[in-house]
Amino acid sequence: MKKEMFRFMAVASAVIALSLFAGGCAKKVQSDKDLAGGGVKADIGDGSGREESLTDKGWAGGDTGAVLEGRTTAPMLPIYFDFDKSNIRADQEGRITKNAELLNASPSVRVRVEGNTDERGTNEYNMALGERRAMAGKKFLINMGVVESRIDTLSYGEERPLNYGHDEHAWSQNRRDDFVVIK
Amino acid sequence: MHRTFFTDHVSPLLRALFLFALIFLCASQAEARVYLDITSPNFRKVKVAVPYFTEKPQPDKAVDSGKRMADFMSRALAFHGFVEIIDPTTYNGSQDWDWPSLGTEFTVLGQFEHDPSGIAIEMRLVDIHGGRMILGRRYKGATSKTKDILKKFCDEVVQQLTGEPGISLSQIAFVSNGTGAKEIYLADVLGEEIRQVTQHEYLAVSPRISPDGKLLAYTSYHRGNANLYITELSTLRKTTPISRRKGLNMAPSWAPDSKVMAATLSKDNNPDLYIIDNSGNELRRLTSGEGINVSPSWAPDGKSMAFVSDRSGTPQVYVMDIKTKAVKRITFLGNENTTPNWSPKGDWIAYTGLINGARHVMMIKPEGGTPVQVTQSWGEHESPCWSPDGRQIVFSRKRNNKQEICAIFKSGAGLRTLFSLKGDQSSPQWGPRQEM
Repeated sequence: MKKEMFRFMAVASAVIALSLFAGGCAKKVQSDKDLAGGGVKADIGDGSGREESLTDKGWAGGDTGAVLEGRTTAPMLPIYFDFDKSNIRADQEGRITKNAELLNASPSVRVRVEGNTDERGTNEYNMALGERRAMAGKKFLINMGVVESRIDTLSYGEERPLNYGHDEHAWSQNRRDDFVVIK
Repeated sequence: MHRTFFTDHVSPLLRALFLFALIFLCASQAEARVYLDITSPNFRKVKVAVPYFTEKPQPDKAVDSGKRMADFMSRALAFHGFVEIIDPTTYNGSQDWDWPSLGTEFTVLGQFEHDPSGIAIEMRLVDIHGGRMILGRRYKGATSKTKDILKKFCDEVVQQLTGEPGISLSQIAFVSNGTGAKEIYLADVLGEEIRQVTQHEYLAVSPRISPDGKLLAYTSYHRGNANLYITELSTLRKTTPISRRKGLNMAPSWAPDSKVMAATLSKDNNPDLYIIDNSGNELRRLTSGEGINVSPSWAPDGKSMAFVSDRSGTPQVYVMDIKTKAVKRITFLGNENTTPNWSPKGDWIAYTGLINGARHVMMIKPEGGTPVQVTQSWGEHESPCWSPDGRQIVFSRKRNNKQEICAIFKSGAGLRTLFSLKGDQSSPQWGPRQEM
């Protein structure tokens, strides 16, 4: 039942994809103040970071813009994973291939792949598992021709569940890569 | 959130404790030592009476503050697990009683007096059978430091009775989402003084306290990446991002010298373990692309490290020889063994294990072997961390959709919730004893 719904949404989004994608995303670039506010380039590890206050705020999660499913910027769609796995399932390849095609059609768009896990297991392991999922998504996009420098990854582990339930239905929705347009 | 005398003073314990004047009331008797073998399986709790403290000018008049001090001392002693406090109402809280008739083995007697500079508290530990005082101390300090003075004496009493100091003066760091966002908190072990450390208002995880008790590390997402921060526990005002590499920068474990740490970084496209210094400079890479490598925990001798990897297909605990990077898998029971934590004595590694569908606190010898299940209660027990005396384990327990910080003795006895707070609490880390 759920799968059918996903399939329907996939078809529906594919239909609206071409018409909305370029325009929608271009607008997004101009209105994205979330990242501008906390837009520290997060690729430095040499200890040169400026001292901050323990009360400093920054980023508030980033605006995904319009969403069809998960926390993925429409018309892209999230992909789902098996428990404790980070390989991309055969039944998810169509979705991520579509995402790659959309990104290839809009070369100025940047994307952040956000890895998520279900609540089972310890937080730290899940953080690493989410990172592996995000990296698997990134790798797939690169193999589909998306330039690596356009892709960021971020793992939330189990920290940002989409579905707060405690059953397999909820868990399956939370084991997910989201694709969020950042530029 | 508690707001107590402690939270009103930014300066921590240490500064205040320097003010204490320690006077040995009876040097010759302080030498006398009583050792209880509290590790013996046949050990029975010792019966201790802590009568109401009296105020010097009128020692016969019961005062509320004297009752509160005795109650606090009782709780601090009981926290250590080997003391049974005799209910003071059975002897009217009086310091003068026929103690053997109640089965009393020791009494802790206190007398205090206020002066313009603060408070002076005189405390004595008396061995009832031996009929003698075995420890006597007099402390002076600001009235606001009364509880710290009581904790200090408690830890000395524990030392006198067991041969090792108590842990009343240690702290526990943890994560709570009570404000709606996950932030880092610090609490004293008795839950008297609980303070929110970070206010980044997004997602802060994995606190760690350095072995010297001076630094607190954590990972925060408030800049859009999982960055590793260090803040100084003595001030808790500024925080410095020491690793902002792309991807994960998290869950470090300090080496015993508190100068370098092992952390999980994913800058090279896989969550791997690296040794970095306290400024974030990479010194050494420990694992290379073999699946997930996370949750390092340094052995107290500095030579080995426990960590979690899924290189065998499921998450399991491994021990690495840090010099040679040779690794050995030590957990084989079940499909999910994570968050190892090496005991301060070096003899056990506590971890989270999945047993019959629920996560429990387990412990295993560093060389492997048959693990011991420490928790037996219903719920999800995760992220164990040893107390500085190696006798207790703090962990999070989730049941009925509520997650709390709990502690248990190594023997599996004495499980209790430590802090009553709004929201869910997780990832507890027990810091060292505070030095004086």
